[in-house]
Amino acid sequence: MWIYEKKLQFPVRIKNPDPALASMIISQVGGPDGELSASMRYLHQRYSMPDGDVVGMLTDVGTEELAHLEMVSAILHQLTRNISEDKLMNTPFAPYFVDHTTGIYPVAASGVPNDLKYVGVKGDPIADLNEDLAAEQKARVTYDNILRLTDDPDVREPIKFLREREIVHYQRFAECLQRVQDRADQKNIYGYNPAFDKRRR
Amino acid sequence: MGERNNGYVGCDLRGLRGLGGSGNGARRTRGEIGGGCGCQTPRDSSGCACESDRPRGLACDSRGAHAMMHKLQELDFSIQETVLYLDAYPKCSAALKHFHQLVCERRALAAQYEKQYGPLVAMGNDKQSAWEWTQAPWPWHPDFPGNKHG
Repeated sequence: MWIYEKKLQFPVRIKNPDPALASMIISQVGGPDGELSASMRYLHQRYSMPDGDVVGMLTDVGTEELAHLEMVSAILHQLTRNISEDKLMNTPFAPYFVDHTTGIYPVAASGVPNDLKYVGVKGDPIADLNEDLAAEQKARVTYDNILRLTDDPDVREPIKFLREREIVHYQRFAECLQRVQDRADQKNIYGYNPAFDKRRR
Repeated sequence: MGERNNGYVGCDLRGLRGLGGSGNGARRTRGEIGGGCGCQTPRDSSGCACESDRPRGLACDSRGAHAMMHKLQELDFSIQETVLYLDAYPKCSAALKHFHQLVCERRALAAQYEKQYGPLVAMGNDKQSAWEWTQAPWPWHPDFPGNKHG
């Protein structure tokens, strides 16, 4: 089970509202490589992961992704705080405003609402960990793209922190994949699925 | 309830009494306000004995991991219910007192559980010589403490 802690993982304090930027950054809440999907992906993969150390990694990274979801949401909240109608009228934020006002709704920058299709659970450790490695890299690219769109240091610092975390998670998942493969039958690492087949390791 | 009295004046703990079930450890009348967990002023053997080395009233050592986990689940559920109640009625002093008693008992029990059976949270890995967090069974495993009925 989970316990909520009333703090952000990294401080978010944005002085200047920027609704147009918010309509891009929202992809890291509800987009295909966003934090919501990341957390759900890892936490759901745990049940078929045969190795306790990999379950631990999925638990702890999946939990950290929830903290990232809160950080991105804090960024969005502050970017859209106290803005008047005329300040958002001719921005890309206007269509979102019509549907959600300034609430945080999990949606991609393209306007597509969050979809569980973004969560890959194959029930096979090698397949699932490869999914996770790709997901971390895609999230890293999304943050890289967000960093191309703003020079506001108040926004860039927490985004740079989140980008770094994607790289760290990638490293840790790569080590998990290596261990899973090392524990497999070295003659054929695809010979059986340790999450399903009864064959002893 | 409270809303009838324009706020929190009329709040009571009817919704909280009896929580915790009738399982092991429920002999302590946690539902009754004023029972006292004994953190500051231990009254009798039913205190949670936060200040002493070994919990006296809980006697968990002999009941093993399953019983201790059941007790922890009972306590945490009572705390959860009390938290929701206090979220709704933040000025209810009786609920607040009840909350503190439960939390006191919980801290002692969680510390004892982690000492004997391994960490409940990653930060609870108290052992200096080993990373036990990922070694013990995960909660969905049938052998995980507390998953055994009875």
